[in-house]
Amino acid sequence: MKKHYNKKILSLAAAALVLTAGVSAGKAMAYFTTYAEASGSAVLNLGTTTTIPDEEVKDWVKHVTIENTGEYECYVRARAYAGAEYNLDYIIGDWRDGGDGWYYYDTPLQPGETTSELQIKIDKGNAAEEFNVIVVQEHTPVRYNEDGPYAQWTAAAGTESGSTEQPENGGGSQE
Amino acid sequence: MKKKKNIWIRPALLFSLSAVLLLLSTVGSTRAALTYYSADYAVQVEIKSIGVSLLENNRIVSYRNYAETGSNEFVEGGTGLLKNESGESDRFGAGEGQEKLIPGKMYDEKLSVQNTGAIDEYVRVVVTRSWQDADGKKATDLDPGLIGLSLDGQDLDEFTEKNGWIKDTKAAGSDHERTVLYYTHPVASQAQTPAICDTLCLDGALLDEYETKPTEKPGVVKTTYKYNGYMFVLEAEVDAVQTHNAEDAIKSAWGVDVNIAPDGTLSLK
Repeated sequence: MKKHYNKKILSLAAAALVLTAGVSAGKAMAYFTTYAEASGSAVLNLGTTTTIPDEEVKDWVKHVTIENTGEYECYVRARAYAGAEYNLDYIIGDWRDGGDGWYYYDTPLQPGETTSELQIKIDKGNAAEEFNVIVVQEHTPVRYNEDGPYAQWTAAAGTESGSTEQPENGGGSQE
Repeated sequence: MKKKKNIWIRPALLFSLSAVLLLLSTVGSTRAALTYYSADYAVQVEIKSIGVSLLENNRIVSYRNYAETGSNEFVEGGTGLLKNESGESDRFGAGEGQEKLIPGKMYDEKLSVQNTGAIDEYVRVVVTRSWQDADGKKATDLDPGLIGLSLDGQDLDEFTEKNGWIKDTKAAGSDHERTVLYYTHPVASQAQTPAICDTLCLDGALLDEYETKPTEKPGVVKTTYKYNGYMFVLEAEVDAVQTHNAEDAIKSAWGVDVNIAPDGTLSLK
Protein backbone atom coordinates (compact mmCIF):
# COMPACT_ATOMS: atom_id res chain seq x y z
CA MET A 1 0.00 0.00 0.00
CA LYS A 2 2.78 2.37 0.94
CA LYS A 3 4.45 1.68 -2.37
CA HIS A 4 1.28 2.82 -4.16
CA TYR A 5 1.40 6.24 -2.39
CA ASN A 6 4.99 6.82 -3.45
CA LYS A 7 4.10 6.21 -7.07
CA LYS A 8 1.32 8.76 -6.91
CA ILE A 9 3.53 11.30 -5.21
CA LEU A 10 6.28 10.77 -7.70
CA SER A 11 3.86 11.15 -10.60
CA LEU A 12 2.51 14.42 -9.24
CA ALA A 13 5.97 15.74 -8.57
CA ALA A 14 7.10 14.80 -12.07
CA ALA A 15 4.08 16.53 -13.58
CA ALA A 16 4.79 19.68 -11.60
CA LEU A 17 8.40 19.60 -12.72
CA VAL A 18 7.42 19.28 -16.38
CA LEU A 19 4.97 22.16 -16.06
CA THR A 20 7.56 24.34 -14.36
CA ALA A 21 10.14 23.52 -17.00
CA GLY A 22 7.61 24.20 -19.75
CA VAL A 23 6.93 27.70 -18.46
CA SER A 24 10.55 28.73 -18.68
CA ALA A 25 11.33 26.87 -21.91
CA GLY A 26 9.49 29.41 -24.05
CA LYS A 27 11.64 32.28 -22.83
CA ALA A 28 14.88 30.39 -23.18
CA MET A 29 14.29 29.63 -26.86
CA ALA A 30 13.50 33.23 -27.90
CA TYR A 31 16.19 35.62 -29.13
CA PHE A 32 16.58 39.05 -27.65
CA THR A 33 15.47 41.52 -30.29
CA THR A 34 14.00 44.97 -30.37
CA TYR A 35 13.41 47.80 -32.80
CA ALA A 36 12.69 51.51 -32.88
CA GLU A 37 10.85 53.34 -35.62
CA ALA A 38 10.52 57.00 -36.46
CA SER A 39 9.20 59.01 -39.33
CA GLY A 40 8.90 62.63 -40.26
CA SER A 41 7.76 64.73 -43.16
CA ALA A 42 7.83 68.23 -44.54
CA VAL A 43 5.84 69.95 -47.23
CA LEU A 44 7.78 71.44 -50.10
CA ASN A 45 6.28 74.84 -50.73
CA LEU A 46 7.73 76.09 -53.97
CA GLY A 47 4.66 78.07 -54.90
CA THR A 48 4.92 79.65 -58.29
CA THR A 49 7.33 82.04 -59.86
CA THR A 50 6.18 85.03 -61.81
CA THR A 51 8.23 88.08 -62.64
CA ILE A 52 6.78 91.20 -64.15
CA PRO A 53 8.91 93.77 -65.92
CA ASP A 54 8.19 97.43 -65.50
CA GLU A 55 9.47 99.81 -68.13
CA GLU A 56 9.45 103.54 -68.18
CA VAL A 57 10.79 105.52 -71.11
CA LYS A 58 12.10 109.00 -70.54
CA ASP A 59 14.44 111.02 -72.74
CA TRP A 60 15.30 108.04 -74.91
CA VAL A 61 16.22 105.95 -71.90
CA LYS A 62 14.32 102.85 -70.85
CA HIS A 63 14.25 102.36 -67.11
CA VAL A 64 13.65 98.63 -66.56
CA THR A 65 12.86 97.00 -63.24
CA ILE A 66 11.57 93.48 -62.57
CA GLU A 67 9.35 92.44 -59.71
CA ASN A 68 9.03 88.93 -58.33
CA THR A 69 5.29 88.54 -57.95
CA GLY A 70 5.57 84.79 -57.34
CA GLU A 71 5.99 82.85 -54.12
CA TYR A 72 9.51 81.54 -54.56
CA GLU A 73 12.82 83.36 -54.72
CA CYS A 74 14.41 83.65 -58.11
CA TYR A 75 17.14 85.20 -60.18
CA VAL A 76 16.32 87.39 -63.16
CA ARG A 77 18.13 88.54 -66.26
CA ALA A 78 17.16 90.88 -69.08
CA ARG A 79 18.21 91.99 -72.49
CA ALA A 80 16.84 94.32 -75.16
CA TYR A 81 16.38 93.93 -78.87
CA ALA A 82 16.14 96.74 -81.39
CA GLY A 83 16.62 97.24 -85.07
CA ALA A 84 20.14 97.42 -86.44
CA GLU A 85 19.84 101.18 -86.96
CA TYR A 86 19.57 101.70 -83.21
CA ASN A 87 22.48 101.57 -80.85
CA LEU A 88 21.68 100.54 -77.27
CA ASP A 89 23.86 101.56 -74.35
CA TYR A 90 23.31 99.87 -70.99
CA ILE A 91 23.78 101.68 -67.70
CA ILE A 92 23.93 98.64 -65.51
CA GLY A 93 24.16 99.84 -61.91
CA ASP A 94 23.62 96.71 -59.77
CA TRP A 95 23.30 94.53 -62.84
CA ARG A 96 26.12 92.59 -64.43
CA ASP A 97 26.96 92.32 -68.09
CA GLY A 98 27.13 88.59 -68.73
CA GLY A 99 28.91 89.10 -72.04
CA ASP A 100 26.31 86.90 -73.74
CA GLY A 101 23.86 89.66 -74.48
CA TRP A 102 22.12 89.21 -71.14
CA TYR A 103 22.33 91.43 -68.10
CA TYR A 104 22.10 89.60 -64.83
CA TYR A 105 20.75 90.72 -61.49
CA ASP A 106 22.91 88.62 -59.20
CA THR A 107 20.97 89.15 -56.01
CA PRO A 108 18.26 86.57 -55.36
CA LEU A 109 14.92 88.25 -55.72
CA GLN A 110 12.61 87.39 -52.85
CA PRO A 111 8.84 87.25 -53.40
CA GLY A 112 7.55 90.81 -53.59
CA GLU A 113 10.97 92.34 -54.20
CA THR A 114 11.90 94.47 -57.17
CA THR A 115 15.27 94.87 -58.81
CA SER A 116 17.06 98.14 -59.07
CA GLU A 117 16.95 99.85 -62.45
CA LEU A 118 18.62 98.64 -65.59
CA GLN A 119 18.80 101.65 -67.89
CA ILE A 120 18.90 101.20 -71.63
CA LYS A 121 19.84 104.31 -73.52
CA ILE A 122 18.59 104.38 -77.08
CA ASP A 123 20.79 106.12 -79.61
CA LYS A 124 18.45 106.67 -82.51
CA GLY A 125 21.07 108.35 -84.71
CA ASN A 126 19.47 109.33 -87.97
CA ALA A 127 16.72 106.79 -87.68
CA ALA A 128 13.05 107.63 -87.65
CA GLU A 129 11.47 109.04 -84.56
CA GLU A 130 9.39 105.93 -83.99
CA PHE A 131 11.19 102.88 -82.75
CA ASN A 132 10.45 99.53 -81.25
CA VAL A 133 12.76 98.20 -78.55
CA ILE A 134 11.76 94.92 -76.99
CA VAL A 135 12.95 93.99 -73.53
CA VAL A 136 13.06 90.32 -72.71
CA GLN A 137 13.50 89.04 -69.19
CA GLU A 138 13.79 85.59 -67.74
CA HIS A 139 13.70 84.12 -64.28
CA THR A 140 15.05 80.96 -62.79
CA PRO A 141 14.48 79.65 -59.28
CA VAL A 142 17.26 80.05 -56.76
CA ARG A 143 19.22 76.85 -56.21
CA TYR A 144 21.67 76.04 -53.50
CA ASN A 145 24.85 74.08 -53.19
CA GLU A 146 27.61 74.01 -50.58
CA ASP A 147 28.76 77.44 -51.77
CA GLY A 148 25.35 79.02 -51.35
CA PRO A 149 22.70 80.22 -53.79
CA TYR A 150 23.23 80.08 -57.53
CA ALA A 151 21.31 80.31 -60.77
CA GLN A 152 21.02 77.61 -63.37
CA TRP A 153 20.06 79.45 -66.51
CA THR A 154 19.71 76.31 -68.59
CA ALA A 155 16.48 75.88 -66.65
CA ALA A 156 15.30 79.45 -67.18
CA ALA A 157 11.61 79.95 -67.60
CA GLY A 158 9.06 82.62 -68.00
CA THR A 159 10.36 84.54 -70.94
CA GLU A 160 8.50 87.80 -71.25
CA SER A 161 8.78 90.78 -73.45
CA GLY A 162 7.58 94.32 -73.56
CA SER A 163 7.59 96.70 -76.47
CA THR A 164 7.84 100.40 -76.42
CA GLU A 165 6.97 102.92 -79.04
CA GLN A 166 8.57 106.28 -78.88
CA PRO A 167 6.27 109.11 -80.04
CA GLU A 168 7.55 112.01 -82.05
CA ASN A 169 7.47 114.42 -79.14
CA GLY A 170 10.07 112.34 -77.33
CA GLY A 171 8.05 112.14 -74.13
CA GLY A 172 7.77 108.38 -73.87
CA SER A 173 4.97 105.96 -73.28
CA GLN A 174 4.54 102.30 -72.64
CA GLU A 175 2.22 99.88 -74.31
CA MET B 1 -7.50 3.29 18.60
CA LYS B 2 -5.28 4.07 15.78
CA LYS B 3 -6.36 7.16 13.90
CA LYS B 4 -7.21 6.47 10.30
CA LYS B 5 -4.75 8.18 8.04
CA ASN B 6 -6.14 10.13 5.06
CA ILE B 7 -4.12 8.90 2.14
CA TRP B 8 -4.94 12.05 0.00
CA ILE B 9 -3.42 14.64 2.35
CA ARG B 10 0.19 14.27 1.32
CA PRO B 11 -0.38 14.28 -2.47
CA ALA B 12 -2.67 17.24 -2.12
CA LEU B 13 -0.07 19.10 -0.11
CA LEU B 14 2.61 18.32 -2.63
CA PHE B 15 0.39 19.32 -5.49
CA SER B 16 -0.40 22.62 -3.81
CA LEU B 17 3.28 23.18 -3.24
CA SER B 18 3.96 22.51 -6.92
CA ALA B 19 1.27 24.96 -7.91
CA VAL B 20 2.80 27.61 -5.68
CA LEU B 21 6.24 26.94 -7.15
CA LEU B 22 4.78 27.16 -10.63
CA LEU B 23 3.15 30.45 -9.81
CA LEU B 24 6.32 31.85 -8.35
CA SER B 25 8.29 30.87 -11.42
CA THR B 26 6.16 33.18 -13.57
CA VAL B 27 6.58 36.23 -11.39
CA GLY B 28 10.33 36.15 -11.20
CA SER B 29 10.76 39.37 -13.20
CA THR B 30 8.20 41.14 -11.07
CA ARG B 31 10.15 40.31 -7.97
CA ALA B 32 13.16 41.97 -9.51
CA ALA B 33 11.39 45.27 -9.29
CA LEU B 34 11.21 45.15 -5.52
CA THR B 35 13.88 47.27 -3.99
CA TYR B 36 14.78 44.99 -1.13
CA TYR B 37 16.20 42.30 -3.37
CA SER B 38 19.90 41.89 -3.45
CA ALA B 39 22.05 43.78 -5.91
CA ASP B 40 23.26 40.51 -7.38
CA TYR B 41 19.77 39.53 -8.35
CA ALA B 42 19.09 42.94 -9.89
CA VAL B 43 22.20 42.65 -12.02
CA GLN B 44 21.09 39.28 -13.26
CA VAL B 45 17.85 40.77 -14.57
CA GLU B 46 19.61 43.73 -16.16
CA ILE B 47 21.84 41.47 -18.21
CA LYS B 48 18.82 40.19 -20.07
CA SER B 49 17.45 43.56 -21.10
CA ILE B 50 17.82 44.76 -24.68
CA GLY B 51 17.11 48.21 -25.99
CA VAL B 52 17.82 50.42 -28.96
CA SER B 53 17.33 54.06 -29.85
CA LEU B 54 17.44 56.05 -33.05
CA LEU B 55 19.22 59.36 -32.81
CA GLU B 56 18.72 62.35 -35.08
CA ASN B 57 21.38 65.01 -34.70
CA ASN B 58 22.44 63.38 -31.41
CA ARG B 59 18.93 63.52 -29.99
CA ILE B 60 16.92 60.36 -29.30
CA VAL B 61 13.87 60.45 -31.53
CA SER B 62 12.69 56.88 -31.05
CA TYR B 63 13.44 54.18 -28.53
CA ARG B 64 12.26 50.77 -27.45
CA ASN B 65 13.90 49.36 -24.36
CA TYR B 66 13.11 46.37 -22.23
CA ALA B 67 11.62 47.70 -19.02
CA GLU B 68 14.24 47.84 -16.31
CA THR B 69 11.51 47.38 -13.75
CA GLY B 70 11.21 43.81 -14.93
CA SER B 71 7.61 44.11 -15.92
CA ASN B 72 8.25 41.97 -18.98
CA GLU B 73 7.33 44.88 -21.21
CA PHE B 74 9.11 47.18 -23.58
CA VAL B 75 9.09 50.87 -22.95
CA GLU B 76 8.91 52.79 -26.20
CA GLY B 77 8.39 56.32 -27.45
CA GLY B 78 10.05 59.29 -29.11
CA THR B 79 9.29 62.45 -30.98
CA GLY B 80 9.78 61.21 -34.53
CA LEU B 81 12.00 62.64 -37.24
CA LEU B 82 12.28 66.13 -38.68
CA LYS B 83 11.28 67.97 -35.52
CA ASN B 84 12.88 71.06 -34.10
CA GLU B 85 15.45 70.90 -31.33
CA SER B 86 12.86 70.66 -28.60
CA GLY B 87 11.09 67.94 -30.55
CA GLU B 88 7.77 69.73 -30.12
CA SER B 89 7.09 71.06 -33.59
CA ASP B 90 8.01 70.40 -37.17
CA ARG B 91 11.47 71.47 -38.15
CA PHE B 92 10.55 72.75 -41.59
CA GLY B 93 7.86 75.26 -42.36
CA ALA B 94 7.12 78.94 -42.57
CA GLY B 95 6.42 79.44 -38.88
CA GLU B 96 8.57 81.04 -36.24
CA GLY B 97 11.63 79.00 -35.38
CA GLN B 98 11.15 76.78 -38.40
CA GLU B 99 13.56 76.35 -41.26
CA LYS B 100 12.50 77.09 -44.79
CA LEU B 101 12.85 74.05 -47.00
CA ILE B 102 14.76 75.00 -50.12
CA PRO B 103 15.86 72.57 -52.83
CA GLY B 104 19.59 72.21 -53.06
CA LYS B 105 20.18 73.55 -49.58
CA MET B 106 21.91 71.21 -47.16
CA TYR B 107 20.50 70.55 -43.72
CA ASP B 108 22.07 68.67 -40.84
CA GLU B 109 20.53 65.24 -40.65
CA LYS B 110 22.76 62.96 -38.65
CA LEU B 111 21.12 59.60 -38.07
CA SER B 112 22.80 57.15 -35.74
CA VAL B 113 21.96 54.35 -33.36
CA GLN B 114 22.53 53.97 -29.64
CA ASN B 115 22.39 50.75 -27.70
CA THR B 116 20.15 51.74 -24.83
CA GLY B 117 19.90 48.23 -23.49
CA ALA B 118 22.18 46.30 -21.17
CA ILE B 119 23.49 43.67 -23.57
CA ASP B 120 25.65 43.98 -26.68
CA GLU B 121 23.74 43.87 -29.91
CA TYR B 122 23.98 43.97 -33.68
CA VAL B 123 21.94 46.66 -35.37
CA ARG B 124 20.67 47.54 -38.80
CA VAL B 125 18.79 50.55 -40.12
CA VAL B 126 16.13 50.59 -42.82
CA VAL B 127 15.64 54.03 -44.33
CA THR B 128 12.66 54.75 -46.53
CA ARG B 129 12.16 57.89 -48.58
CA SER B 130 8.97 58.77 -50.43
CA TRP B 131 6.66 61.54 -51.58
CA GLN B 132 3.05 62.03 -50.57
CA ASP B 133 0.39 64.37 -51.84
CA ALA B 134 -1.67 66.68 -49.65
CA ASP B 135 -4.08 63.84 -48.86
CA GLY B 136 -1.29 61.63 -47.59
CA LYS B 137 -1.44 59.40 -50.65
CA LYS B 138 1.88 58.11 -51.91
CA ALA B 139 2.98 59.89 -55.07
CA THR B 140 4.64 57.13 -57.03
CA ASP B 141 5.36 59.33 -60.02
CA LEU B 142 7.73 61.51 -58.01
CA ASP B 143 11.33 60.47 -57.60
CA PRO B 144 12.37 59.50 -54.04
CA GLY B 145 15.96 59.68 -55.23
CA LEU B 146 15.65 63.46 -55.09
CA ILE B 147 15.35 63.22 -51.30
CA GLY B 148 19.06 63.13 -50.72
CA LEU B 149 20.60 61.64 -47.61
CA SER B 150 24.36 61.71 -47.71
CA LEU B 151 27.38 60.93 -45.59
CA ASP B 152 30.56 62.90 -46.15
CA GLY B 153 29.10 64.21 -49.38
CA GLN B 154 28.22 60.77 -50.73
CA ASP B 155 24.59 59.76 -51.10
CA LEU B 156 23.34 56.61 -49.38
CA ASP B 157 22.67 55.25 -52.84
CA GLU B 158 26.26 55.67 -53.88
CA PHE B 159 28.25 53.73 -51.30
CA THR B 160 28.17 50.13 -50.23
CA GLU B 161 30.46 50.43 -47.24
CA LYS B 162 31.30 53.40 -45.05
CA ASN B 163 32.19 54.05 -41.41
CA GLY B 164 31.47 50.47 -40.41
CA TRP B 165 28.11 50.36 -42.22
CA ILE B 166 27.47 48.09 -45.18
CA LYS B 167 24.51 48.26 -47.51
CA ASP B 168 22.40 45.27 -48.37
CA THR B 169 22.18 45.70 -52.12
CA LYS B 170 20.05 42.58 -52.43
CA ALA B 171 17.42 43.67 -49.94
CA ALA B 172 13.85 43.65 -51.19
CA GLY B 173 12.92 46.97 -52.71
CA SER B 174 16.47 48.20 -52.40
CA ASP B 175 16.64 51.33 -54.53
CA HIS B 176 16.35 55.04 -54.07
CA GLU B 177 13.30 54.49 -51.93
CA ARG B 178 14.49 51.87 -49.47
CA THR B 179 17.98 51.44 -48.11
CA VAL B 180 19.04 48.75 -45.67
CA LEU B 181 22.31 49.26 -43.80
CA TYR B 182 23.99 46.89 -41.36
CA TYR B 183 26.49 47.95 -38.77
CA THR B 184 29.31 45.45 -38.96
CA HIS B 185 30.41 45.53 -35.33
CA PRO B 186 28.63 44.64 -32.13
CA VAL B 187 27.38 47.73 -30.35
CA ALA B 188 28.17 47.69 -26.65
CA SER B 189 25.64 48.75 -24.06
CA GLN B 190 25.15 52.53 -24.15
CA ALA B 191 27.54 52.90 -27.10
CA GLN B 192 26.62 54.83 -30.21
CA THR B 193 27.33 53.90 -33.81
CA PRO B 194 28.83 56.26 -36.36
CA ALA B 195 26.17 58.09 -38.36
CA ILE B 196 24.67 56.52 -41.45
CA CYS B 197 24.15 59.99 -42.91
CA ASP B 198 24.88 63.55 -41.93
CA THR B 199 23.11 65.70 -44.51
CA LEU B 200 19.62 66.03 -45.92
CA CYS B 201 19.28 67.80 -49.24
CA LEU B 202 16.42 67.92 -51.68
CA ASP B 203 18.00 67.77 -55.09
CA GLY B 204 17.72 71.05 -56.96
CA ALA B 205 16.87 69.02 -60.05
CA LEU B 206 13.29 68.89 -58.84
CA LEU B 207 13.06 72.54 -59.91
CA ASP B 208 13.65 71.43 -63.47
CA GLU B 209 10.21 69.91 -63.64
CA TYR B 210 7.75 72.72 -64.16
CA GLU B 211 5.21 74.07 -66.54
CA THR B 212 4.60 77.61 -67.64
CA LYS B 213 1.25 79.16 -68.37
CA PRO B 214 0.46 82.61 -69.71
CA THR B 215 -1.16 85.02 -67.31
CA GLU B 216 -3.77 87.65 -67.98
CA LYS B 217 -0.99 90.16 -68.46
CA PRO B 218 0.39 89.95 -72.00
CA GLY B 219 3.86 88.53 -72.16
CA VAL B 220 3.91 87.41 -68.55
CA VAL B 221 3.96 83.72 -67.72
CA LYS B 222 3.62 81.86 -64.48
CA THR B 223 5.92 78.97 -63.63
CA THR B 224 4.43 76.14 -61.57
CA TYR B 225 6.69 73.43 -60.20
CA LYS B 226 5.69 69.78 -60.32
CA TYR B 227 6.86 69.04 -56.77
CA ASN B 228 5.15 72.06 -55.26
CA GLY B 229 2.86 71.15 -52.37
CA TYR B 230 4.07 67.59 -52.09
CA MET B 231 5.38 66.24 -48.84
CA PHE B 232 8.58 64.28 -48.58
CA VAL B 233 8.50 61.52 -46.01
CA LEU B 234 11.50 60.09 -44.24
CA GLU B 235 11.17 56.88 -42.25
CA ALA B 236 13.84 55.03 -40.33
CA GLU B 237 13.60 51.72 -38.52
CA VAL B 238 16.37 50.42 -36.30
CA ASP B 239 16.48 46.70 -35.59
CA ALA B 240 18.64 45.19 -32.87
CA VAL B 241 19.41 41.60 -32.01
CA GLN B 242 21.55 39.86 -29.41
CA THR B 243 25.19 39.07 -30.16
CA HIS B 244 25.01 35.63 -28.57
CA ASN B 245 24.48 33.00 -31.25
CA ALA B 246 24.13 35.96 -33.58
CA GLU B 247 24.01 34.15 -36.92
CA ASP B 248 20.97 32.15 -35.90
CA ALA B 249 19.43 35.05 -34.05
CA ILE B 250 19.76 37.37 -37.07
CA LYS B 251 18.42 34.72 -39.41
CA SER B 252 15.47 34.21 -37.12
CA ALA B 253 14.77 37.87 -36.44
CA TRP B 254 15.63 39.51 -39.75
CA GLY B 255 15.56 36.62 -42.19
CA VAL B 256 19.05 37.41 -43.39
CA ASP B 257 22.06 35.12 -43.72
CA VAL B 258 25.17 36.66 -42.21
CA ASN B 259 28.66 35.59 -41.26
CA ILE B 260 30.07 36.54 -37.91
CA ALA B 261 33.86 36.49 -37.88
CA PRO B 262 35.73 35.42 -34.74
CA ASP B 263 36.37 39.08 -33.94
CA GLY B 264 32.62 39.74 -34.13
CA THR B 265 32.62 41.45 -37.52
CA LEU B 266 29.37 40.94 -39.40
CA SER B 267 29.22 40.43 -43.14
CA LEU B 268 26.36 39.56 -45.45
CA LYS B 269 26.35 36.19 -47.16
